[in-house]
Amino acid sequence: MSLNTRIKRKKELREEYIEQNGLIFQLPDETLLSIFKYLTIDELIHAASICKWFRRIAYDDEFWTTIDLTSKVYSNRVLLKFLRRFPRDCTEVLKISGGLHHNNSGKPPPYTEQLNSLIQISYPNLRYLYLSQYDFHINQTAIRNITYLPSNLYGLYLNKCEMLTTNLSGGLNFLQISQKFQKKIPFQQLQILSFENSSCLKSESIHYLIDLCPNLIEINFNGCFRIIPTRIFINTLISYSNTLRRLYLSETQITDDTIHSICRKLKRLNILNIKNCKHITKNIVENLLTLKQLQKLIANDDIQNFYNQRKNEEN
Amino acid sequence: MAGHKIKLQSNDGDIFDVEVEIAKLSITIKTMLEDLSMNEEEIIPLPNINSAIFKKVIQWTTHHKDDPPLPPEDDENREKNTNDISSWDQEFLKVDQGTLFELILAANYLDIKGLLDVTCTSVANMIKGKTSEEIRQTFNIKNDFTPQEEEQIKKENEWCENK
Repeated sequence: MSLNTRIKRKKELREEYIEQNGLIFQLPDETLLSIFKYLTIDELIHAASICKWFRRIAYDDEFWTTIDLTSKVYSNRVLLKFLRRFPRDCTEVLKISGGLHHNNSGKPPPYTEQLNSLIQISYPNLRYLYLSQYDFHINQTAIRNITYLPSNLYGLYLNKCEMLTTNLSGGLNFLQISQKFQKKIPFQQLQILSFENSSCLKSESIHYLIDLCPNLIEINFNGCFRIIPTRIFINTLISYSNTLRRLYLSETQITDDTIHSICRKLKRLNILNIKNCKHITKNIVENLLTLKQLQKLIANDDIQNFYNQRKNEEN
Repeated sequence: MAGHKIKLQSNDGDIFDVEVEIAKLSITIKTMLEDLSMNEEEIIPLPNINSAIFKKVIQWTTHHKDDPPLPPEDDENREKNTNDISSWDQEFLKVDQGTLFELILAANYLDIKGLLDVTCTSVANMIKGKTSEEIRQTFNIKNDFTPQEEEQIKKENEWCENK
């Protein structure tokens, strides 16, 4: 329990308060904490309305370091209310999900400026932000540029999101650095960037990445099936040779040549996922064996088995 | 070592012969035996636990002695979905509230994670899905908020209701 909570408790004891004689009050604070671990955020908020003791425990920082609101789908209006009502300095992880029922259109709701600025104001110490099923481009109110997201993050997960990803139209690119940030690197601290299942992401956009966030340890393109192995795409990946340890490319259209380039340059890789990449063949296994630091390969069975077999032979 | 027994004494004086392997499911007892290298002939006192509760604890640990060790807890696998109490445990936990809370305290003192998990889950399930009034009735809790706090709570609950 945090020191703050203990101090508050002392204060509370000094005040005159109604005596409770329910059996549950024989439990120490630590035990009620253990019980409340099984409650979701909205159940915690509900528990906080029962009595002073429940309230103090339910609002202990321990339960608010991670706020996961993805177990239900909340409309933007309700989410905004939540963000306004429950600001926390202790929150490091926030997970929200837009769902696909916005205006009954079967499309995700827009990730708006209002949502974004409230997240930044309410959770100043946020380190990991999970935004799944949001629209970053179609709706007028949607944020159109990644650089408006909180810039002190270590991990940014844009999963199942729609985003403007091509600069062919001459319009703004979601990953392009906006004017406002020209002088500095917007995501200097970012280590993890995930676009998992944000299937409209295209290879053309990726080349901004190295200017946006030069220190990535993990990149996740799983399920981004529009990713094709263009020169720019490969060069962008390779430019992370000093930092990149985990690379997820499942279901993308990369080829044996892509892997060949990766294996030559990304020597620090610990984890590589190339499952269900239909252009990848068993021929690539010899290349994969040159990644000496690889601890985990995730691939289709034939490649996986052959890799394991060859690896055993080498040892 | 199987079948080897040690003597444990509850706070009302009863002495229980318990198989070492079962007793060691309690990290507290395991530590006493291993780190403090207590003599296994010695009677180990358990000053915080009465006989009735200790019998329940032995019943539970005996049933669960062959369970695989629990996975380490992290944020990802922290179980919020709590309907998964096994039917044996559900039957075992059909006790009055006083006993349930004493079991929690005993599990906590003896450091038996599995028992603590299942008892805490059981209490959490008594909170889930109930209105404020129902929760207060269930646990005999008085509403002890000041009018200012009530005002604040009203605002917060408005969020909960507004989905």
